Amino acid sequence: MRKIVQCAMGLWASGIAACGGADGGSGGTIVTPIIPTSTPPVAALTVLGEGRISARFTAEISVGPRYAYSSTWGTRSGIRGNAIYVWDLSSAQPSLIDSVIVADAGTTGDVQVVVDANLLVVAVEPTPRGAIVLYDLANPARPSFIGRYETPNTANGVHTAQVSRVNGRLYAFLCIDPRGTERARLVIVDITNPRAPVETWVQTLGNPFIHDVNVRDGILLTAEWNDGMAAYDIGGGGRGGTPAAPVFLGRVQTVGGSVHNVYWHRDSLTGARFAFVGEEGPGAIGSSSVGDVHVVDVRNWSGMREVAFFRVAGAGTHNFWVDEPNGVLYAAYYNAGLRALDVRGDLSVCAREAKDALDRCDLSLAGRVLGASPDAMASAFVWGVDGAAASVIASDMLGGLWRLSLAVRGTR
Amino acid sequence: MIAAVFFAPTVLRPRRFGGTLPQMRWRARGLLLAWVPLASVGAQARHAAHGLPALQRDSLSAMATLLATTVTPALSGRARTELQLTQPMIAVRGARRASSLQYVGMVNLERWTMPNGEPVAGIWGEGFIDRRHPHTIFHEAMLSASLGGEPLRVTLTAGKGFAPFGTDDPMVRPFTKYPANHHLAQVMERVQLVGAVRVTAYATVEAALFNGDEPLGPTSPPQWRRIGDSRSTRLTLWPIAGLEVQGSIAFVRSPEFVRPDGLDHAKRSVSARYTPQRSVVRYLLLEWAQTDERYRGRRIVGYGTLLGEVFARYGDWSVGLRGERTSRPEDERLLDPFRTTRPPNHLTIKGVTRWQIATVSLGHSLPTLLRVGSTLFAETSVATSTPLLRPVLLNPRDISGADRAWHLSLGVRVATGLMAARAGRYGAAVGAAGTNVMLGMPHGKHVP
Repeated sequence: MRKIVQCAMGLWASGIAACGGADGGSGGTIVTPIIPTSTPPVAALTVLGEGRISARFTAEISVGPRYAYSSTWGTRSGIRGNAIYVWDLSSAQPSLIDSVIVADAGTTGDVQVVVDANLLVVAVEPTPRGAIVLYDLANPARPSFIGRYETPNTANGVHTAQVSRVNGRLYAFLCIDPRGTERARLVIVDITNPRAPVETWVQTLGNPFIHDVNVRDGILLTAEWNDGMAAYDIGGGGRGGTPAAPVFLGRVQTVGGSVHNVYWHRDSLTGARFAFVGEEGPGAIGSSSVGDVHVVDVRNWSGMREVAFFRVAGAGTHNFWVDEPNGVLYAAYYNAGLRALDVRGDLSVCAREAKDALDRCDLSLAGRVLGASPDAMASAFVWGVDGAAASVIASDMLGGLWRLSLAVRGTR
Repeated sequence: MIAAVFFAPTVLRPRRFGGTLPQMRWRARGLLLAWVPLASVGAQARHAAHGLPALQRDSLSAMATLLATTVTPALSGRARTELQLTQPMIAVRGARRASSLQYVGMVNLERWTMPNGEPVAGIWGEGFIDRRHPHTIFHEAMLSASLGGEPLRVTLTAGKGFAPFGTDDPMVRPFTKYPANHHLAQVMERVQLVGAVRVTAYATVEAALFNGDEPLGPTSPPQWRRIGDSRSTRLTLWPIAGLEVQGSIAFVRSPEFVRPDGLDHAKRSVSARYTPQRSVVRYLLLEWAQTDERYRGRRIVGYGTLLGEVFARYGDWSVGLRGERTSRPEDERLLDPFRTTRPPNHLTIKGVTRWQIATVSLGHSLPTLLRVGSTLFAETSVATSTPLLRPVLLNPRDISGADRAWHLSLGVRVATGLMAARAGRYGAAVGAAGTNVMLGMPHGKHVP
């Protein structure tokens, strides 16, 4: 019966899409909606391997061609979250091969490998030694310390560090914690020469936090909590913006606020119409968590609007990774593990029954849930996700790494 | 004194003082302008003597506690001993116009004597955890004006001090170490306007508006624009001599953030306090309190406390017993494991820990010398912690090295002048006859 309903919804959505049109606004590309002709069943992802580590709480994960790097959080059994672990992914089972200890760190909340620069960037908290630490990955199995970038503008704690190229230069976008009367801020640092980083822009942003940014094609998207998601031209928006002087393009308030992380999606078939926003609502770990994944239509930066959402009852989302070639979003959900969503096609179109009172598509009711973490991960606490060689790696705060199969769309 | 509360931070930290008088919002201006009618009302007021103390003259007092505290284990399984000077305070109190105007002020010097806090089992607040934070320099400055008399007396009080919520501040209770529930059972160091109505000698109702933000440090001023964003109400009954029963509620907006961006506190408190007149047992207190953290009206998590304490005195010897069961939030620690982020980096509570603490205090008063009274004391407590939420991301055991810790303090409390027996009540809310009893302080004269 459920499959009949899902099929009917798919046909209904297809009919709606056929009557719709494409629209290209400033800042977006022309999009041709593609509606799934069938809705896949929800399935448990398969565990391919586990990389166990319990000395510290595991935080973020970043995957390179062969090796993955996980960061650490807080204090566990008296041991600080001041380490970066190096994992060999050449076999199904992630294998811990090395670790580096970051000085004066209580949490290394974010880590990113920059493959084309042979660089590893680590975000360091807490205050008063907030910084980023850079490592050379000439030998990716043995990160080699390059330097620590620490200034009064980073001292309050670097929560996340997003590294991206803009017009050929490499920049780190640092989200800084608030402290006392000092508000949260975004610091942009030119790390083209990682041995001599140069600060290019500092701006108070976030109400009260800024925890993430996403940079793509010269557009900077910022997750500004209760100020929503904002878009800035830093070289690709046609407004003359640069990383040293971003130009504000627009802002959107998603339902519930608490904008924690953002991702501007590129669907290989439908273009660059949508961005995904992760909401981290207030809660108590293990007791009450909320936070949806929101889908925002970004064809017009000055007129962005929310068109869809995804919710897991009793849980809140954290970080996510998008398998763009396959059009699947993998969202970490802490105590609820992991969810895989079909994000191909026009996410703003769905059956009327799948619409909420705000005219947003409920991606669950729209049949877009492809998979979930398996029962083996019932006790996991998933912080982040990244992709690796036809698999997905989930970082479990309590246990280490899980290597899972990719979600597969069902066929009829 | 009151003017100093408002303007001294400009002198101490001029760059940090975010507002000037012209920029204050109307609530703050109204609070200051309230001084005018307060000052003029006394000429026609009558003072009601039923159960209410009459201050006859200005008084100046001072007190301090010098103690050594050993905590075992304190950090990573190792014991630690600290020598500190805590609660060094200078207080002034007085009255004018037949007590129709009363003032109280207190300067606290902990900013210099214990800038890194004081080890106290299970306590938290204002960025400190397992250590009590130093109080603000200008700890209290309140001016009360009275109208009316028997059977109805109305007072209006303005300044900085304790909001009408919960029980007395632990500084006037018979233990050196504060209970862990300090931030659940009291709301202190707020700029406020308090109205109180006393009906006969048996009942008082108070209501206050104040700023929700907690101090960022001993020298930090309040967020002037937030004066009035929080409120509390307390009903107090004195059914028989020596017995005081109160029930109070409070809404404190976003106390952990300088802007109202964080979780709000919905607070409740009920307590019974008994001070027998002719008994070796001089004081009993039983209190319950609950604080719910809310976000836009939605309850996130709650913390509760149940505490009982008793104090007895025989001659120069005194003994106190306290039992407490309190739950507290856990948040990310700084590189100093006894400090937390301010404000928090998330609006997600990382854990809740239940503390069960038993405390015994033994004191011996020494003869007054040069008008200085002193009491030698020994105080010990055993504290057990239990994480309540799963998964456990922040376990105090990961810091101290064990689920159970012992605290032992040896020291001396000294005081001179007319000490206050109560803390946290102003104007018509000051306790009835038989309730304003000096507890645990060095023998000497006191004012209610």
